[in-house]
Amino acid sequence: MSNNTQTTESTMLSRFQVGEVLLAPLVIRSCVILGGPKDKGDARLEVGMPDRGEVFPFVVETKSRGTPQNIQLAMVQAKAAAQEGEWPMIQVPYLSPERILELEKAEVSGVDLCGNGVVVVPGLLWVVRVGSPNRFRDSRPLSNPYRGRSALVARMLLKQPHWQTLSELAASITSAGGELSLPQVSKAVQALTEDLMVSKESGAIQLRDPLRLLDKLGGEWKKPRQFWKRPDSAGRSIKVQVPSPYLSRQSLRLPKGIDWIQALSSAPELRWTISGESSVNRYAMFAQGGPQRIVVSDIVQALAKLGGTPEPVPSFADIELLESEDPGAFFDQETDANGVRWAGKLQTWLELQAGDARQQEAAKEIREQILKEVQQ
Amino acid sequence: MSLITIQDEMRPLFGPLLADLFQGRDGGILVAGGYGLFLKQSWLLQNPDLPIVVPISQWRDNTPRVTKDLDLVVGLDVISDAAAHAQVLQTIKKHGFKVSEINARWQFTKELPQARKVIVELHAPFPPEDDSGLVVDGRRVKRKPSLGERGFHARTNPEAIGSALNPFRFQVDGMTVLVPNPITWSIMKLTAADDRWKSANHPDKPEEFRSFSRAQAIKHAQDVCRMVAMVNRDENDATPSVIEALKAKPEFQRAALIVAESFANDDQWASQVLSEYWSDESFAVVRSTLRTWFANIA
Repeated sequence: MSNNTQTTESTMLSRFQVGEVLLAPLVIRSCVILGGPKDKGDARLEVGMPDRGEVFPFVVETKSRGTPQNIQLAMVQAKAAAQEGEWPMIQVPYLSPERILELEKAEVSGVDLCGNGVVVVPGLLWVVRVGSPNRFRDSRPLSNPYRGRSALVARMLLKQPHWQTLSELAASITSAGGELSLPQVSKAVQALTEDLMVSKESGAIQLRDPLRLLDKLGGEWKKPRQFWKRPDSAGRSIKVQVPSPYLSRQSLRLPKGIDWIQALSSAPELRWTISGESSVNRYAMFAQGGPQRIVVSDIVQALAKLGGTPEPVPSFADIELLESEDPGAFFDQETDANGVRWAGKLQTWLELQAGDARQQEAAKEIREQILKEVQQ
Repeated sequence: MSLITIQDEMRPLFGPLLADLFQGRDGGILVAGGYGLFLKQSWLLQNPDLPIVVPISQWRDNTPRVTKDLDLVVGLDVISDAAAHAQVLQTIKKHGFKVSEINARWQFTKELPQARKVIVELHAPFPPEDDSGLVVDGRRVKRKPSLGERGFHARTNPEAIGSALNPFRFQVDGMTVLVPNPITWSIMKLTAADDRWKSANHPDKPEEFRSFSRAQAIKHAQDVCRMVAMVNRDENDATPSVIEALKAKPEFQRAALIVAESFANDDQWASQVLSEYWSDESFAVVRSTLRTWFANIA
């Protein structure tokens, strides 16, 4: 049994009491908590409807953390522990609707501590409850490997799905412009393993589910994010939540004859790239008007290098500067012969899939390319 | 080549008339009103790469619509030119339009089957007081001396101030069309919207009249937005000189006040009724453009 900051397997098992509701309306009719070294499973339960005498026997495997990997392991263990006439059941702190569907398909029952679950005896009993919110936050060391700096690991795995060692993976992330330490890469890989996105064997790392990984990255990209806002004149920084991936933006008319590529590149500490939205033509057929959007790490510095005048009507600008602290914006960019730094294919897809209907259409084409390349 | 098919039921009626009116003339007659907006939108749909304030692809309602009225703004120099009177009047008559009885010599109508009709109206700004070749008579601007039935009048439209400044020129089906500069056009449409909105809220007016006025106010306010949305970079870059020429005029100042009181904030009537027609981002750009043009005037 492993401990969790929120709950432990022993406390989870202690809720199994005769007469208590297991998953409404099912009640526990009998209960034996197991714990011996030779015992398979954590508990044996008989459950039934409150107004009927018929009972259904289950063997329960409990896990204090409900990662997809743990749930899959618990399902295997519960099935192995089920004796003749018994049905397998798992218990975790929280079951999402997605996990409940998986359980139902596998004909394994599952309950959580939030009131969700499915109890199934094929042909005889089927009770399902979903929708209760998760009251148990995940306490794993890295809570979200699909967002921010940690997501660079997932991105690199989508570029190359197999790595012999963690060090090789970490080194390639660094060479693609990501700043991630080996322990950070390790934590992200562990989190992805728990989510069944990747598998590890003898130190090698293999991407298992590129399609689901793309969906997760795309979903996280659409969510609002928090930034540390630039310190004000009094030196105060505040964290702000913004609905877009960008901290600030400025449409600009450039001075006549300026070589803006050279101007931006002349500041070694300034990171810049053509945004994914504006890089789309490198990867898909797409016609669009409007100024080119350039993502920069520091808009004040970029404006100082470029000069020009602010343009209140975005359509009339020569370029639009977007300030971002997201390391993914500058990750795996492609520099052409003219020194133009274009967004990578994955970054382009991320931005387009969160865009308007036409952009989403183009995103589909790029998504197919990414999946095709990762499966080669 | 555009893939968009634009149904312009008025083109067979207005197209040849406009082509003949513009024949041999370099300016002097502008197409304003709803049909001017329609022609410009049709042209932009055929030129989708031209940057405008809000690309038409981003409009929630980007279907061009035609109206049965053709509002022409006639230059004061045309009105004072006797030869132009003959050409304009002959052209209008040639295309089957007759002088309207109730608005004689500045409104012309053409009867169509099934009791329908189309209308052409001639408008003009107030002439300068020192212009000895023109006279204002009630709602009309007339040539002096009068040409009688050989001439036309124009309805005084004070909001058409500056119509001679930087008109925008484009071609539709080989026909050169001129429309007013965005500042003049805004003043005309903002004032029309405000007048109608005031009528719509007049407690002494019957409900039917108020309801009609409200619909008209919304239409004119939406025309303001469409007009602003269709302004291109060259037109926008030319606005400072037009503003400089007009900013002291009461018509400009009233328009600035209308922007400040009806379009500037979310809780004002125009903002409220128009927001459903535009995305937040597009509407913000339109309002920001209006505020830039009419800033710090009111």
